[in-house]
Amino acid sequence: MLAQLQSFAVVALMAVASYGLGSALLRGLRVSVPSRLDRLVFGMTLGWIAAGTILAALGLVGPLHVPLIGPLAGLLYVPLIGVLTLTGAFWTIGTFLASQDSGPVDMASTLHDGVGASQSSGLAAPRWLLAFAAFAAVVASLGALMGAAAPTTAGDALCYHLELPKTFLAEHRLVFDPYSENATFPLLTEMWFLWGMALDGPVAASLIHWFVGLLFAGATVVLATPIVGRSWGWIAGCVALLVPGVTNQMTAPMNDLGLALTTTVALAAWWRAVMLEEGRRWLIVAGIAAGGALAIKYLALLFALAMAAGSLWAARSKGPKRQLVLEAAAVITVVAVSTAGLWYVRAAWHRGNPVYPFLTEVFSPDTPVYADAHETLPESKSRLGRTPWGAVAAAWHVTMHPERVGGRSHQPGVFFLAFLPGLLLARRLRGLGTLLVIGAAYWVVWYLLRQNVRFLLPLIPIGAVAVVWVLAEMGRFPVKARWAGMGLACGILAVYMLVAAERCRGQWAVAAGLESRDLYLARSEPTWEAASVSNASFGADAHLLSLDHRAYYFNCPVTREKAFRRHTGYHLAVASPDQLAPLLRKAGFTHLLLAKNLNWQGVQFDPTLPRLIDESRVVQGRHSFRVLWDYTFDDADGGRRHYQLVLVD
Amino acid sequence: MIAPIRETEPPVEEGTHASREVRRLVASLFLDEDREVDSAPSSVSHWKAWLLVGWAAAITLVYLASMLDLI
Repeated sequence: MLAQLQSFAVVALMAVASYGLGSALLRGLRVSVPSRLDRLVFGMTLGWIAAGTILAALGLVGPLHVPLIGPLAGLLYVPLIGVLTLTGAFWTIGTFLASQDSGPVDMASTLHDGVGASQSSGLAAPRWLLAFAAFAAVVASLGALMGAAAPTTAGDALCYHLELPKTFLAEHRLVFDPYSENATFPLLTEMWFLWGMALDGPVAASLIHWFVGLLFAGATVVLATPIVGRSWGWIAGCVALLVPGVTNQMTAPMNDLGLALTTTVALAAWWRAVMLEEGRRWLIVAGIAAGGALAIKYLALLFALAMAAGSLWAARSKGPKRQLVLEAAAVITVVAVSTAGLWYVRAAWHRGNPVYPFLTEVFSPDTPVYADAHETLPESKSRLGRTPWGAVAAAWHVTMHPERVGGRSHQPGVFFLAFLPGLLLARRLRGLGTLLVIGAAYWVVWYLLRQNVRFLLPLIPIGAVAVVWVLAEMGRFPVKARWAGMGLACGILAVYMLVAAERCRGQWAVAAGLESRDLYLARSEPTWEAASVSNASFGADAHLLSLDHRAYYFNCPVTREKAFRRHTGYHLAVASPDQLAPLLRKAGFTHLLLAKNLNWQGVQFDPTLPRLIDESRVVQGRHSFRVLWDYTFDDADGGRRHYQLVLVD
Repeated sequence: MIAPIRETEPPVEEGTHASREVRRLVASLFLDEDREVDSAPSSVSHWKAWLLVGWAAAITLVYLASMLDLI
């Protein structure tokens, strides 16, 4: 229980500190943000981006690398982060209390203000609908919180979202591992996780992503308010949060919600600068948020293309607006590149390719690759084809068969396909056309380049704004049709809520502190048993070559066999079976983690290394590659995994 | 002398009411958006409203069947 409370307290402190940092940035930029919700969303997002960038800078070229304190770096790193966090949090609280003393605050502003009813649809949502959507969103958030408060077992999180920050913390700097394909990705979200892990552990990282999900919903409200009004904006935020893929992402430390948050905030700031003409300083805010998006995931480049399309649309009429749009594009580009540039320079420095492992055909065509060469546009990312009609039909496939493009757990749900056609019946709404152009452009580049439902999250807020306008227009429907439509919409949201609450049923005991984290992991995480044995027997002294990419729970360095094979072609260098062990020892490996799926459900493992070991045993006898631990694990994906911890001797 | 008012023939309406509605809908997609919503909202006709509700209900049913692996 105490461990759980500590994780919650740490994330709360981080949130307060980041808000203080972001608020200071907003004040420094002299951006006027009258609404408290807007201030919270813009302030916190900018704060998280700034804090992550500062941590990255510390890890790259910060004072911890001054030779004078080099030996002390390990001792100082974590306390320094803790002191900075506490200082930031207390300073923020002090500033907040001081502002309370200086004058009365209009509490009503949070719920009812916004950019002005004259600039939005000016329609108020029915109170009962607002209450229902809020109730559903709160229940879904609490359901997701149960998942986030449990130790994570998400594959990608254990592969690199948590594994890389753990390595950086252990090494006290942003080390480069040539055999980790993710090591040179933009890693801003991972810096947030590093922050949480430095002060607490992996559960804090999960809670951070859950909190980012809440901010994402808030950002949707901020984006929607100038277009559909505050009350419908709140409903848009609830709709965005209730999307099954969103509540699922909130349970694990990933980076997709961080990307969706930053793209939404960038779009909302751009909207204020260009569409509402509230001042050019908003362009800096948009640039920082766009830089944050680029520092989180390469996918932000696709969103930049969509924003370019939206800018062209907004600039189609001659006059001062066109000049403002062009100015906005230039300012946002410069600020965004300055914010995110370090990650791309780092990738170019280590890999010779700023967007590794993409565009390897262009940037590093001569680098030898011995297996599973990276493709920029692989077939696996174009399961829906690449035809004009396919782009339209993709909406159906994404809704009905998300398992074909990334999995049901990340799906956008049915709400959008069910209600967006209603735009054909709705009246034209100022600004909505531009938003839809941006959304349509993103949809097209997503369809052409990266068909995975997970990558549709930046589109959710745009879809949510459009869909609540359809709901608002249902007020003009005949009474029976209106109630039928509203009832259906509420029914879908209720199902989303139940799915989010039910999804984490198995985690409530550990989330509440009634079950220990170790016991939970023993029954939930396939690699936990191997990691426990490895940690107890070898600690951090071993070096594991693993068929499974889940590396986080091992204390020793873990290299993924697939990446090692891809870059070294070791399997081709084994001319005779007796050469395998010396070759692996020479590469520094002391142990192997072999994995095999005993049925056809779930992930399948490459058979190359097990085959080489079998051949070696045939020649050298059963004593070679001694099995130290052997077990099977029934995974939640239906797979029955067989693991062997093997000694390289 | 005041010229007599010349009677004109009423304009000939082309196509059915439904086809004119469809043309109006398509045309509205390409009209300038830079204006507020209509000041005097007109109600949506029964068939259009029920068409959307029917579509949404049908899509939702298919979706649920798909998620429950019934189809």
